[in-house]
Amino acid sequence: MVKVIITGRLYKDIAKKFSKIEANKIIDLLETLEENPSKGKEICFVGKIVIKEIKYGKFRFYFITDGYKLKFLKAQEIKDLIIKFVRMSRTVVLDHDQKSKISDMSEKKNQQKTIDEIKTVLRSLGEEGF
Amino acid sequence: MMKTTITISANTRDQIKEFRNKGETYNDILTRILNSAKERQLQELLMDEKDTLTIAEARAKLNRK
Repeated sequence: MVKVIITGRLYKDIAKKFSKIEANKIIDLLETLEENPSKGKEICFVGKIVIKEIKYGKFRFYFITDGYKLKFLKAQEIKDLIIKFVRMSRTVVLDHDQKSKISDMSEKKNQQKTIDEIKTVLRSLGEEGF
Repeated sequence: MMKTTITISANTRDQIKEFRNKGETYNDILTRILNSAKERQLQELLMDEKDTLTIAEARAKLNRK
C-alpha cells in the first residue's frame, strides 16, 4: 500500500496560494501517486531517500520517498511505501517585456533554492525536520 | 574494490575507531555507520508523520475553509 502525506507547512502554502477549487485539483494530483508511485521526475538521492517532483501548471511539488523501494521493487511488490510531499516552488512571474531568458533563470534559481533546502534537511538527519 | 584517500583529523579518526568491532576496517565501520544514518533518515524524515496530513485530511480541511 502506498500512503501519500503532505507536511503541514506545504498544506498551508497550498491553501494560501490557490483557490479552493484549484487546491482540490492539486490534492487530486498528489493522490494519483497512491496508484502510480513511480510518477514524477527524479531530482537526486540523499542516502536512501529520493527527491522527486511533479508539475502542476507553473508550479512544482517536491516529494521524498524510499528511493530503493521505488527503484528496485515492481509496483505490485511495493508495500508500506510512504510518499511525503514537502515543498513547492513556482515560476517567478515577470513583466511581459522582460526577456524570457531572464524569466527562465529566475525560475531555475527559485527551484534550485527549494531543492537545496530539501537536501539540507535530509543531510542534517532530522535535526530541523520538514 | 577501487580505493581512495580522504583527509580527516586525528581526532575524527579516533572517534571513528571508538565504533570499531574486532577485525573491522575503517571502511567496514564507516559503511556500518552510513547504513545506520540512512535508516535514521528514513525513520525520522520520511516515516515520521508528525505535523503531516493524509490526502483525506487535507481535502477535508480545505473544504471546511
